[in-house]
Amino acid sequence: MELAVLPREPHAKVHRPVQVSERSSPLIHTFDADRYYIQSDARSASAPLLSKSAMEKRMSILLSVSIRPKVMEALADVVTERQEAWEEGGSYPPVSDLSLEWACHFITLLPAVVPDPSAGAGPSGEVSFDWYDGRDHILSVGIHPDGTMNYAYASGNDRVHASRNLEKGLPDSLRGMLDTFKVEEPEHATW
Amino acid sequence: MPPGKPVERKETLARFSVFSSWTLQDGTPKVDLFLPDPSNTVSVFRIDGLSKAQLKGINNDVDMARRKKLVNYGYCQVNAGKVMDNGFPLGPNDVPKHHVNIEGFGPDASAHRAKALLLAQIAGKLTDTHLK
Repeated sequence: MELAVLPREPHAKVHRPVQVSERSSPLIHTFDADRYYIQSDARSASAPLLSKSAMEKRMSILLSVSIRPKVMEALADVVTERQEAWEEGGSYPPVSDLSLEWACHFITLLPAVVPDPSAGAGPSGEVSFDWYDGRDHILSVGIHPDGTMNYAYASGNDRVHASRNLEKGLPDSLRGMLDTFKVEEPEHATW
Repeated sequence: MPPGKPVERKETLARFSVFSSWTLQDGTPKVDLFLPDPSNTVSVFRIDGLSKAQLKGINNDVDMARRKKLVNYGYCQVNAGKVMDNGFPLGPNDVPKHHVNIEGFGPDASAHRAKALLLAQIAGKLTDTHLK
């Protein structure tokens, strides 16, 4: 299925449709939620229906861009660097499309009070999201093509690592770890 | 493959980075830098006593092996004793010259990430002084 992303202004002369394909990094790189809206392609009526899970993933990609644009921009840079390295004959595989889709889904699940993570990719092409608050307080999450999420956490002497599938959402244990990074709102003075 | 000389606790090991996303902007090593490759090891080099030219040579060899071009991101240092204290055996195979494998990552992916996190915590920030 292809979606066309068109300028919002009705009188805009330049229409630059962006093809949304399985390799979705160009979308992440160029999509600006404040400037564009999505309009179905005229042929979409005859296009095959997406499954519910495929549609949810597609929506996650779009949502993640609007929810955490800086993270998605950083992730697009990671994907680009890995893809270029692979095409130049490098030994590390590119970021897999499925990892990317699950990563977008993960971003949409993050509580709003949690700061943006640092995006990256591991040696097998899995997407990584890390939170650093000094050397003694780190959370690292790796997202694999099958939706498996491996995470490791260190805070002082506390160390935890686990593996869960993202289909079931964020586990409570991971939410607890994420909470330790949230930015506290300054308390308002009371009169 | 003949083993290299055993690594002493006081030695400095260097993990070369080949992707910009493997360190934070301030040079802090990220967990990705220390995730093991498919052979379940992390490649490092013993660098004590090496000249800038020798370090540059290792830098170039790693870049060419992993990226097929020079990216010159530099390396993060880690003390061998600290690596051993955290339960990692060191395999000094000296192939290529000065090469050591950090081993002991365990069987599953979440354990790999936890161990890599440990190494990221004890490693120093990215340096590229050998390139200047």
